[in-house]
Amino acid sequence: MNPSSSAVIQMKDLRKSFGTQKVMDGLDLEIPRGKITVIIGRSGEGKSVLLKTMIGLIFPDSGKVLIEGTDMLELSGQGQNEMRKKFGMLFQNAALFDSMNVFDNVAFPLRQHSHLEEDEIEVKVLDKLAKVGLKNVGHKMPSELSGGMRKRVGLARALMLDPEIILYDEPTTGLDPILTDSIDNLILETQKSFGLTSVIVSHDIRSTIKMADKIAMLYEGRILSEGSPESFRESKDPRIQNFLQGKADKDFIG
Amino acid sequence: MIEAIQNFLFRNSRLQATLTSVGKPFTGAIKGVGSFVFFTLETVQWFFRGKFHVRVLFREMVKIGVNSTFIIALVGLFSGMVFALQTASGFRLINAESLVGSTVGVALARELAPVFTALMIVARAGSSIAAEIGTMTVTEQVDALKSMAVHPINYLVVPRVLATTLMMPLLVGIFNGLGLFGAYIVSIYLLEIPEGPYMMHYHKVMEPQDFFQGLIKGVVFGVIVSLIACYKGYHTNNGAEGVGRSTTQAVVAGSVTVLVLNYFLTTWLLQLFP
Ligand SMILES: Nc1ncnc2c1ncn2[C@@H]1O[C@H](COP(=O)(O)OP(=O)(O)OP(=O)(O)O)[C@@H](O)[C@H]1O
Ligand SMILES: [Mg+2]
Repeated sequence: MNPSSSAVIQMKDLRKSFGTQKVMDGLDLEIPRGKITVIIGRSGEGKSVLLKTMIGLIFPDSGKVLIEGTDMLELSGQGQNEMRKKFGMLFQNAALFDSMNVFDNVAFPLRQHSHLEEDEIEVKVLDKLAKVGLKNVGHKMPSELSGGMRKRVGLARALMLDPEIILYDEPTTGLDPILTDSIDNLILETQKSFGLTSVIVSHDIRSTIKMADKIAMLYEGRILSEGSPESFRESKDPRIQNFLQGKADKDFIG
Repeated sequence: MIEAIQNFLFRNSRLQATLTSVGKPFTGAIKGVGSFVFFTLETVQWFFRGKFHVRVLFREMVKIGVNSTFIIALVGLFSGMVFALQTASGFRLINAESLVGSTVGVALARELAPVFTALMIVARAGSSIAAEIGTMTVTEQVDALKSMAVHPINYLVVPRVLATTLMMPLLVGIFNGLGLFGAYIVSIYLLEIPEGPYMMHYHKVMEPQDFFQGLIKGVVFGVIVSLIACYKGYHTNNGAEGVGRSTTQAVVAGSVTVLVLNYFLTTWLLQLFP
């Protein structure tokens, strides 16, 4: 089997600057099919930008983003839109539609892309909401929810269409330890039962080690290191060890 | 063609740097117009090939059209009344007061109704469209739409442009009707102009094409004003301040465009209906 067929997403030599700030600087990364890839890295290092590049929300200044071999950047607006049907995405800030209540937010992808009747939609939506630990919140507006609740509504919405590829931007940041564990389990469960490809951006080292098939560490616009959780734990690179153990550099004040 | 120019300008940063030193406002304007044209073409494309969001369309028609009816009627009524007062005071000098109805009628149908209605819609609907889409852009809701394979131009822009375009002729008609009514009331009951000659002149002078010209203008203004508002909202950045800026720009650019475009439309329509 040639190596590219096992990679769902291939990113080649990506470069991206915002003004004078280089966020991606020759970044190469492959996301293996049917696996959980966790992207780690310092805050502001460009993890969210990287996720948005995968799904074509941010366009790199140069480089390639291949989704199952097709270059996202060469597609028309409509082609990209079609391509995004393969994806589900949980945004870091959840990005709920603030003009719709929770129920309509979660039902939105179904109403757009399925021909289900309203009563079938209701069953599915309530089921997904229950899976993320939310009950009796369907009528609430996003502004009436806590940050953690919003994140879980976003998660339910991202999972709604059972996409092939799911991008999670910090799915458990801001959740209590018990919820974190149950969301981790939900992600694992979804992964196992549908054989999805998952990409998770996470700051939670413990669950990263527990869940990841592959870890990629972003550092100064490139992938510093990628590999199994074991290879990360055994790495001699001080930058990786400091990150895993949460040690600040000596010259870092804060 | 325009797309090519626009791409060229976007890509070729050295040329851009040179041009920037020549005159930043100038390249800014070209880039702005280019990307607006591109946005318009994209909207047209999604209109024909995209999914049709009926629910959103109706909701927007209510928001933009139905909810503006009262204010448009009020403005129309008073515009007709004041215009009757002024023309009457002029015509009185030459004893031609019975011409007030026809004069106000033509002015209302061809110019006042479409232009004032468009300006009211810019202020009322244009600003809220720009603020709404702008807020969705800066809070990543537009990105969320895209991530769910719902293209924001198809889902947000097309229904709003369509709703405004459909509602504008109706609102122009309402403005016109109330304006005529206001002029009639002022002329007949306040200024005591004899009704017979007033109506006779009105019917002799007014033609269906006068109203038709106003409706055409209404449609054109509806398209352009809503496109500008959507465009400004869609290209918002820098958070709350950016939303404020987009909203202001949508209103200013919309109003100016209406007034300038009106001149050219009038020129064209006068040739079309000599
Ligand atoms: N739209 C944008 N315009 C300008 N700069 C941006 C934009 N988006 C991101 N950046 C910059 O890119 C860098 C990377 O941002 P990003 O959000 O990807 O960080 P991150 O790794 O996800 O951080 P965190 O862990 O805190 O979420 C930041 O320094 C940010 O300032
Ligand atoms: Mg982030």
